[in-house]
Amino acid sequence: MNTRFTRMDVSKASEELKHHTLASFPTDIGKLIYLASTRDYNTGKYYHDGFAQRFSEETASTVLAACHQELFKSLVNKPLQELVNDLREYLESVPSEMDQVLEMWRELEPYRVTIPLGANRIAAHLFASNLKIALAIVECRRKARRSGSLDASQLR
Amino acid sequence: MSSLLPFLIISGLLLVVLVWLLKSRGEIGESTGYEEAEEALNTLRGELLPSGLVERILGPADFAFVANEGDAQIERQLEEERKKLAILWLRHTREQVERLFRFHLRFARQESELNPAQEFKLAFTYFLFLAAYAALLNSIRLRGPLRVRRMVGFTTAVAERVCAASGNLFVKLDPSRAGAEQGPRIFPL
Repeated sequence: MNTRFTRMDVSKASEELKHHTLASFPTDIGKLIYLASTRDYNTGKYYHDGFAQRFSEETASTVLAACHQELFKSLVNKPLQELVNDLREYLESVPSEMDQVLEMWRELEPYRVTIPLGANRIAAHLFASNLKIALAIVECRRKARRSGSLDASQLR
Repeated sequence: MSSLLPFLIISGLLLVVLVWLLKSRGEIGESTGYEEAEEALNTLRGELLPSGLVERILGPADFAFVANEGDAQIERQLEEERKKLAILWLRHTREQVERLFRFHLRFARQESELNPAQEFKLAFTYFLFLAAYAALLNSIRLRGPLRVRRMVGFTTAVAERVCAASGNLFVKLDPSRAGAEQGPRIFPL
């Protein structure tokens, strides 16, 4: 296996990850969940067979970790309004019944495992707190839409 | 006379700290906790004091957005969540400032050439921080997170002064750090 680790490789792998692999995910939350899923929860290391073969295991791990951190920071800084739209779009893309997904998200809080290792403690709390609120808003809008009491701008 | 009382109490406390520092100087051979203090300084400067994170927690945009949604329960939930976060941030900041001050105390005990004026100034800044911390904590609890932004700015500025004093001390201990240390930085909200 290729174990070389150069700055050029990292830069190339990073470009490829951002502009090809992650570009297929329409939402930031979808991207974050994907990146978190490449992390081994026992070791904290990131794995991606395709990247490891083209570059090296170490390069792949470094690039995935850096991208995970970067995306997490951008999500923490995202205004609640944008986060709600992003979350709604993501939840709608999940091929399951929306009410069930919403209930699971509220009960299991799966977004907590998407927080990267070494993230700022306060930022991690803020992220989880914002997602909890965003989830409540998405649910509230759905209920309002069913009862037909929401205006057109909020439905978007 | 009653208006002078708080100043007399604060001055008395500062004097006790100073006398204790001078008396215990050189008697204790314990480690100064350089690494712990350096970590506290980095945490404060890199994570807690820059205005971005606090602004994100206390900024009005999210509150306005949720208010526009027209659900009182979610509004209350947001206020509660942000209150918890503001208190968490404040406590974490106090912990790091305390670590820095403890480092100063340990260092002062081992230092043979102590500058009483500087030590007095640092002790005063530290007590000012503790007073600002207590006032801010109570304000967050009583008035909520939205109405304390100016107080947060003041508390942050005082904490940064403790950081600046620590930065100077680090330069004294390790002159190669001189380039990395700058004057006090204020982080307005």
